[in-house]
Amino acid sequence: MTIKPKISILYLDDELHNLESFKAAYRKDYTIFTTDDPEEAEEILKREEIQIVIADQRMPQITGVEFFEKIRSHHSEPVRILITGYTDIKAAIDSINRGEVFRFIDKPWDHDYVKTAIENAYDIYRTRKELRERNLQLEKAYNELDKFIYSASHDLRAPLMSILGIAQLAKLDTPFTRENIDNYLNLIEQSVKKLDTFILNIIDYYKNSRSGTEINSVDFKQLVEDIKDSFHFIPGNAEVRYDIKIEQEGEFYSDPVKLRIILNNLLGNALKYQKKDVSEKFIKIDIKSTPRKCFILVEDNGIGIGENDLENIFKMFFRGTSQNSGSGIGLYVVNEAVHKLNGNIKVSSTQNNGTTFSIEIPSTPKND
Amino acid sequence: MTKLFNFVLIDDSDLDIFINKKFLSLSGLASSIRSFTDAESALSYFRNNPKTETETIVLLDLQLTGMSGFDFLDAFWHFDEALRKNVRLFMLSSTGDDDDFKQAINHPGLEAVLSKPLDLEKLKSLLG
Repeated sequence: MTIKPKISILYLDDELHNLESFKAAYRKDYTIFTTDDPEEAEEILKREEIQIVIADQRMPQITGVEFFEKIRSHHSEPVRILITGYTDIKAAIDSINRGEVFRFIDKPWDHDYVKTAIENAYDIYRTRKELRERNLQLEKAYNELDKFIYSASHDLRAPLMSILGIAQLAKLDTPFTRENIDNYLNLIEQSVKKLDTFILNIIDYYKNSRSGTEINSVDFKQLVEDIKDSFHFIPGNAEVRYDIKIEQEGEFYSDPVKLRIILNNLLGNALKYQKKDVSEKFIKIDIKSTPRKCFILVEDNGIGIGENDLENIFKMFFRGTSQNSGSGIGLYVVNEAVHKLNGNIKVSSTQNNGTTFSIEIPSTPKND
Repeated sequence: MTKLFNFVLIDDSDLDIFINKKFLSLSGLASSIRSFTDAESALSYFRNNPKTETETIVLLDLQLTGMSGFDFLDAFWHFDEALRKNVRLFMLSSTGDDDDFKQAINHPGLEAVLSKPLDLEKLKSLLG
């Protein structure tokens, strides 16, 4: 059973006994703020998260409709209900038609009628809020897509143009010798691999952004072993010492596909961004998992990340200032994946000294 | 006898620098070829090296890590005229986006925009 959030209502009326009886009648169901002072009412709106504003039409300083007009620009979210004691029907209809007021209630009020009005008003409030949130999400997705297409098209084209350049060069560079041809073929290979890495990253991105997560038991030892094996043919891998410690206690449930994406990117980076002329290159992997949580630490003594870049590394298509720059997608996908698993990720790094990523992910209960 | 130039390549891709160096050395246009993988170090090179009698041709990539090609153009454009003399700037990019080309062509410091891979015939005709 879900607990309904308590609706917060602000009620403005110059007649104190109305305020009192309203409070008495509804305080059990709602959180109620009352005042007979329009200025104080505005203060309450600033201070509290109010969902419904109720105001009396006939007040000495200001009418209810005037009050609504006044607060509308700064507090557009609360839904407005007008109370009319006299037969101010014309004012009420007018204000409803102008969109100032959602509904009006005439005095003396009927308990159930007011309750229905409040519930309906809250439905409107909630629906509008959801709509705004959806809109923000859509806007974010749209901007991302826009940026994605711009950057991806460039990143796909650059290696292709390199290959085209190599082909043209090879034709120019006569006489053909075995050595020359080999050199050019190696360059083409390099360029194709770069393009392929980019495409694999995009596949990760796509897999990760699909909303569904498939929860399964995770075997961290196997996972790390598989990833390490896949690095076998990457140049430089043989020179790196892996320092792996995995303590898994009981079953850990999560989405193994996302965990693989996370670890694969972090370990791949640790390998790719090693310093060139260091004899002791290492990658440390430390994983502790219990049935409730897992802690993952990936540390390297590579080139590190500059202080200015550190806050941007999880942004899409951000590339560090290092020479061997990546696709700008890897860490973005890592961050998204960690958050989809309700975890958090931290990074600390010193330039020329190494980088440490630490991740905490809760176990996801398996749906029965 | 063809005229010779000093070339400066600014490109964050080592591979593309290699390719373009090779193109230029096969072209018979270059008396020297220098390369930088970021705009900052290229700028400091120009700041610290007085102008030469030989014209310097800069081939600048658009998408760089750190400062972009456009940032480089802006910074270079604010150098003293003495430093800019005898230096000719060309964009060399793999972008397929017209807007990038338009923005580049409109920059007062830039002579022309070339697309990758480098077209030696086109470069020769531009250098005159």
